[in-house]
Amino acid sequence: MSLRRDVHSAFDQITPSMGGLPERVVQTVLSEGATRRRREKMLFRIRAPLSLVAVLLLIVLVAAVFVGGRIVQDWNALHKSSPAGQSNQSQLAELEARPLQLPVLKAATECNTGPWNSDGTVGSGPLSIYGGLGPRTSWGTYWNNVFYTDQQIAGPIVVRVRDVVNNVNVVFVGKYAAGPVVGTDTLNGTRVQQHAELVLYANNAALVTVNPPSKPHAFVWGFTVGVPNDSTGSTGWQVDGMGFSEVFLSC
Amino acid sequence: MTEVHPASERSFTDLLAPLVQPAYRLACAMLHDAPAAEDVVQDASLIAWRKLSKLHDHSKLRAWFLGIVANECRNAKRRRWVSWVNLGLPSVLSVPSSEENSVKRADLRRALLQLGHDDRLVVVLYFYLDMPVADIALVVGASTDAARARLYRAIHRLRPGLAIEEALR
Repeated sequence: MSLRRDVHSAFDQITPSMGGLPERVVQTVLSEGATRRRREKMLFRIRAPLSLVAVLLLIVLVAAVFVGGRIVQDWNALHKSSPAGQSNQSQLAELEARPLQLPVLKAATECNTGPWNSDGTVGSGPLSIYGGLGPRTSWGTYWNNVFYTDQQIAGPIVVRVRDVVNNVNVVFVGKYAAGPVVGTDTLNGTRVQQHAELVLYANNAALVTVNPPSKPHAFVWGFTVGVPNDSTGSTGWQVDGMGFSEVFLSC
Repeated sequence: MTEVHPASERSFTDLLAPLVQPAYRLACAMLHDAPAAEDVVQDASLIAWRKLSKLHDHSKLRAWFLGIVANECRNAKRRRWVSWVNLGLPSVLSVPSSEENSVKRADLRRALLQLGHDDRLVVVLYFYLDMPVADIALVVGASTDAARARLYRAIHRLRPGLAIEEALR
């Protein structure tokens, strides 16, 4: 017995008569064809209204994006107004016009960090500062610092920093950085502009209150300061606000 | 072969009707389950009806349709894999000698079931539907040489001791 005959025999044994299967198949196809035609007719009928609905939805979407954008913009303007948008531009101009009162040192060895305060941070008040080392780039070294105060602040506060030995500019990047753009750098893969000063307001302080030293503060501003490679690392900080001027050294 | 117009169900069903029997035999041989085979043929017919406009050479309708059936058999097996677990016969059969032929046929079916889908398909097409290798190649979507190689391999797995020439008779 050949394999072909074996296979025929084996499968004929389990293949029952078709019992009208071809007719059933044909009926199924014909029925499907009719259903399909009905569906196509229905689709044709609703195609035009659907297009209209799609266009209307698109218009509504564009309008929603526009209106939403305006709402977000207004909200930001109300709650996080940028320094440039503040009404007290004249106060800012006045503070920026104040001359720097930073000491001039002959060598970095003459620099002593201070004045220290009772919190163990630097600054005689009303602002105090602490921080830690941030990212390094080919341009220099960045520090992630925090200014804080427990006093009520009115108007802007302008912070300017210089190397007290060789007068090299120290810069600010990111949030609160303001004033003239003095350079650019790539920080954590992002191109950033370096600004000459930091401008703080009571209403743009962080909403959270953080330590040190393990107590909340009324106003807290986290910021990033950049010290170029050609700096001696001896920096003088001048903090000018309405009714006060504060100077401290960080070495 | 008559020209098929996609919009004409009647011309399509006229062509389809003679293909139902080989399709059903193929499905029975692949699935070993008559109701499932009928479902497969029904589904394959609807698929063929929907996709007929994509078939440019209507002289290949038979191979094209059987290809759809084979693919549906594979899908049916995937959907019903649980029921296949116990489909094989016991490894040791104890039956009276008068039913020896029946046992042989069952053994052959069991051996075919143990082949993979692609190998089983070429065996069924060649030995059960008596299709030439060139047509089998169209069904499985491979070259004639590849289909022939697959057939030889399947025969070797099915009957390791059997010479190919003898098997192909």
